[in-house]
Amino acid sequence: MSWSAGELDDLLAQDVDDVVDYARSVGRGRTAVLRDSLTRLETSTEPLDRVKVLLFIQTILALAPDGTVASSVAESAALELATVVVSTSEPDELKRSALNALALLFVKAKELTASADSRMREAFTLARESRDPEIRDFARRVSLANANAVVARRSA
Amino acid sequence: MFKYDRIKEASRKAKGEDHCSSAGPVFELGTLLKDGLIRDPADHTMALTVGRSVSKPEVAFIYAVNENFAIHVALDGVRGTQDAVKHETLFHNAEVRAAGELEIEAGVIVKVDDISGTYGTPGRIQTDPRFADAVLTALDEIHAPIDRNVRSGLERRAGRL
Repeated sequence: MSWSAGELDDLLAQDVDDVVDYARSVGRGRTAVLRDSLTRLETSTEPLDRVKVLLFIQTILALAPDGTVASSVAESAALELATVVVSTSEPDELKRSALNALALLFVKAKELTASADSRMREAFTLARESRDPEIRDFARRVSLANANAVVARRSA
Repeated sequence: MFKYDRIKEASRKAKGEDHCSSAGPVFELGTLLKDGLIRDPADHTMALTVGRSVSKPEVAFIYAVNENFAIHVALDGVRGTQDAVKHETLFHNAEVRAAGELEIEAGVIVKVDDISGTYGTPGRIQTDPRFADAVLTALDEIHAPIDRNVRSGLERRAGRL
C-alpha cells in the first residue's frame, strides 16, 4: 500500500466505518501511516477528527502482528496517546479510544523505552480513577497483563 | 459495555447516516440454527456461508452481543442507504458487550473479530478477556457451531484455558 499524508484528509471526511475499513488495508506501510496519524492527532483540535484519527490508530495497532510496531513510532504513540488519556479536557470518547490503543501498544510494540513504558503505566494508573466506568474498569482489569507482555518480550 | 459514542452519533445524524432505527433485517443468531448448523435466512434448507473473506461478492456479516448475552447478526449495509443495517442497528443503540464481524462457512463459524467503528472495539478481543468471554457465552447459550480452532482461540483470549 502506498501512502501519502493527503490521504488522511480524504479519510477524515468519511465515516468512522470507512476509517476502520481503510485501516484493514494498512500492512507493511504502517510505520509511515502511524507517524502521520500521530502528527495529525497532535495538531487537530476538532473532536470528530480526533475520534477518527484515534480509531484509525487503534485499528492499525489491533491488526498489526504482536511485537512488530517500530520502536520509534511506538515511542511517539505512547507519549501522544498517554497525553490524551491523562488530559482533563479531552472528552471521554477520545480517552476510551486512546486507552484502547495504549493497551494494544504494550503488545504490538517491538520495544518500548523506559520513559515510554513509564508514561503508559502512569496513564493507566490515572485511568483507573476515571469518572467514566468503561475507562475505569478497562484500566483496572487489563493494564498489568498487557504491560507484562512487553516486559516479558524485552527480557526474553 | 461499549457505547455508541455521542460524537459519532451526532455526526451521523447531521448527515442522515445514523442507522439506529433502520428497518432492515436483523436476526437473533439462534433463530437461524437448525440441525446444528447456521442456516441461510432466505432458505433454511441451505447452510449459510457469509463473511468478508468467504462470500462472493465480498460482504461483511456483523454481530453484537447485548447485556443479556443475546447475539444479533445482519448483513452489513451501505451507510446512508435506506434501511441499511449497521452495528448501531443490531440493538437499536443499546450498549453492548461485544461487536464485530463473523465469518460463517457451510453453517459453521470460522472467524470472529472485534472490528466495529461504531462501538470502537478494534483490538479488545486481544486486550480484554471479557470481550471473548461475552462472545463465547452468547454463542454457547444458543449452541452455535464454532470451528475448533476459533473456539480454542476465544477460550484462550477469555482466560478459560
